[in-house]
Amino acid sequence: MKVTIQKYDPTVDSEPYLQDYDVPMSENLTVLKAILYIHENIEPIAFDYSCRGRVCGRCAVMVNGESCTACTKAMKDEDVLIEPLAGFPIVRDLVVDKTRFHDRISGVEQRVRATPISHEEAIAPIDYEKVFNKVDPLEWCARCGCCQSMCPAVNSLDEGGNYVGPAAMIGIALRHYDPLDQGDRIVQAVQEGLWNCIMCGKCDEVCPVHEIEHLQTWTELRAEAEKRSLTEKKSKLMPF
Amino acid sequence: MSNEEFNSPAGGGARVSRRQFFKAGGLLAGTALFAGAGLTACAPQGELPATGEDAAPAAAVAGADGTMLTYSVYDTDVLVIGTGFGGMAAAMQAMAKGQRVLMIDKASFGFSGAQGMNWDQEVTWPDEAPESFEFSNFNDTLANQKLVKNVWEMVGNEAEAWNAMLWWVRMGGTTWNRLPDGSIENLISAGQGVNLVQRGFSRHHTDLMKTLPITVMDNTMITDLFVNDGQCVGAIGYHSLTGEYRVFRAKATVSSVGACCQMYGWLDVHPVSMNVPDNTGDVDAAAYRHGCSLIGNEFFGVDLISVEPSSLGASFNAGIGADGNHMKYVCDKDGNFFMRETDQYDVSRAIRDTVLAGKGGEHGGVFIDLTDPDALDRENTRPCYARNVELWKSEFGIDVTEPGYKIPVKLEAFEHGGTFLIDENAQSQLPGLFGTRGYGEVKGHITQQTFVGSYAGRRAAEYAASAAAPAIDWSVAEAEISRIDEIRTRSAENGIRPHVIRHNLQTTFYDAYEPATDADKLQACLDEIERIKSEDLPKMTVMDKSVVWNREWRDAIENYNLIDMTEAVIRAAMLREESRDTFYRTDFPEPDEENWHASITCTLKDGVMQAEKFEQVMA
Ligand code: SF4
Ligand code: SF4
Ligand code: FES
Repeated sequence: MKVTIQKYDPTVDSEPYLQDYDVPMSENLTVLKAILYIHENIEPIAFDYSCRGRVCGRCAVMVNGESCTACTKAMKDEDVLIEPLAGFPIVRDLVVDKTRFHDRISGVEQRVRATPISHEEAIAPIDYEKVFNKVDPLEWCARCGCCQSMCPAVNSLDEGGNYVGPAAMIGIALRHYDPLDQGDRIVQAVQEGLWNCIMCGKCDEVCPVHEIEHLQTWTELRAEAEKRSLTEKKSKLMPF
Repeated sequence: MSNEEFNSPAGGGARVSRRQFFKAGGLLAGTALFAGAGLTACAPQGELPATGEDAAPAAAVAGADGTMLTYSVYDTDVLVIGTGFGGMAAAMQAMAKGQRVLMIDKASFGFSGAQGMNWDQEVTWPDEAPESFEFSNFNDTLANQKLVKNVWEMVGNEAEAWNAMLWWVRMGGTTWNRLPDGSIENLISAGQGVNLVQRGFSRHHTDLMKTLPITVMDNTMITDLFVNDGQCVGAIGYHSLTGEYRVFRAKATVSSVGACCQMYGWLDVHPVSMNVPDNTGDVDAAAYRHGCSLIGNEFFGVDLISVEPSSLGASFNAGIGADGNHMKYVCDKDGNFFMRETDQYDVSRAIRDTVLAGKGGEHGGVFIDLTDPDALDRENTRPCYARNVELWKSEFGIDVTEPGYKIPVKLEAFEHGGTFLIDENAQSQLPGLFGTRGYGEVKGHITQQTFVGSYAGRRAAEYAASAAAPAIDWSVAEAEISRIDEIRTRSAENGIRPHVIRHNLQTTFYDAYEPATDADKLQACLDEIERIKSEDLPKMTVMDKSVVWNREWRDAIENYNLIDMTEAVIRAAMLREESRDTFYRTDFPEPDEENWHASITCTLKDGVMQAEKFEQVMA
């Protein structure tokens, strides 16, 4: 099959370009294996991976315009276009810089506490269904950025900067369900653009972590916000 | 953390001609060299003061192709290499002791190494501090019992150390695995306030680290320790996003780099190891080249993971496996659930014997049969594996619950014991270099890092506080920079690309070590290692000459480390004429407690690696 890769080395190229490669189909071929095949047998490709299991998020790329984690994405015997993850600055070829994206998630996902967590609090049983089963699926977020790169609310120029994006919103939701967190996560969610999301479901579609239910999570956060009449979209950062 | 650096013209500015250098020299030496843009941008304590004009380095060195190479110098009290649990614990404790701390991470902070996988990790979870401490019945297999005792005395006597660990675990922010009644599932209560819990999602801890006044420089690979007059004064490396050479000067250095399992075969995209490509023993091998002994080399922590689809490369998080207490559905090629009769602490041995007896599959391992309706219950299959059943179905069309389906699995190496030896102060044989893992093992079990990491951080901080700033010979750093640059620019007739050498080493080693080893296999592997060193490594050339995110260049640098780490495994295995725990020689199949309740060190002597018995140090 023909695999086309977007290449770009900022030290030599004036702009990104597309390069075609012939890759033999093999059983259970993944996007990662195809990239590695080209790298080892045809010419070097700058790409990244670590866990091979959609938990580190480092291999995220665009395949035919849709984001995915290359390690767990099976390929069909069809021509394919692989590009760096959309919406992030390119380091080289398929490697992007996610520093700001990651720092933003780290910032919102900190446990907020007025006082240190006591031993009794730390070991207190929690409701298995209503609490553990809410938090646990969200823990698996790889922070790969697949959702972020496809989210129309994040990428809309009109809305630019108003919405923190689905990945950080998952972090906020995680802390909302976390019994040891004392922050007001509903206010935070609204501040970060809970109502700017257009509920299109794209994030859920591309997320490699199947146990995260994005739309259901947004719906639950919105229901809590509605109870407190916090139903405003976040307005533009700058009043012009 | 250092996206400012990324925004600079990548690589282009890093290479200056001799002429340009002399023009800019005064300015460079006085200012730019001591203030990394990324540092000031990312942490409150990040503004590192310049350290006196007489200490300013030459800042440039001739590269192999005649150009001048520049480097930046960063200065700190305690340098911590590696940002896993051990490194983070060490950094936090050194900071608590009032030291400036700089952490180095090979990839993006929070996303590198085994810690950077956000997965269901088993975590040692400290409870309330116990009233009194007994060390004799805990970790009694570690080679240095004085170190074990000291770690426990730190826990008992240095309240600040324990409180920092408690804060770390509690504020880290996972909910831990819960039993259906909502209580925390405590897998092992080791006593003395130590528990083992599952579902530690480690990335929360890196989030927490970002709130501390600790500087992290990530995407930075350490290629050597900076050693002057037999003392470790920091480390040398380069920034993989730009190719900038970096010299780190520190009063004390803590290495907590991940266990190197990259020699463990090759499976489409990765070795037969759930560990990660970042961990290639870089600092361990550097310490070895500077005269430190490597210990624990012959031991790997192993468990079962699926090897098909092979394109998942023995992934823990997309694969399906079986851990020590989930062995019920492991079977041989005839469908016999042979592990049900086996003592579960001898799991690897029972599996290897099954394979050796010809009862395994063509893939060289055994199987897991999950077609029983109860098989995916949490007591039978760890939830982190059960979740992948659906992934296999949706992506690969494989239904493991379909009658007759057996998952081909193999023993994979998730941990490796090999690292540089440390003493009862967690210090290596190189003054100024501390470690978090080199306590040695007389058994293959690998212990956790938070406790020893905390201890190493505190001792390193004390060392840094008392140490006078060492005199620095910059030519040592410059020689290393030249070595690294030559690897990238080298051209050789019939050059061999790094991955070709790597895969040969991996398959050679794997064939010698799995499913069990013996003297002949070890000798054959050693012979091939010697041949690779003398014939292949000098011809190793990279096709990719870029300084920006050059995977091949990195692979080539790593190959030198990996070959030393692999040789240490083989030489230690040759000396250990017995079998125990995960270490299995068919020519010496029984344990020999009398002679081998001991560790083995591998040390560079007169240019040759020597393996020697290392008797357990009693407290
Ligand atoms: S929510 Fe899913 S797609 Fe988004 S960052 Fe997390 S794992 Fe990736
Ligand atoms: S549902 Fe909302 S968060 Fe998800 S992609 Fe659509 S707009 Fe973005
Ligand atoms: S390699 Fe980690 S998500 Fe793909």
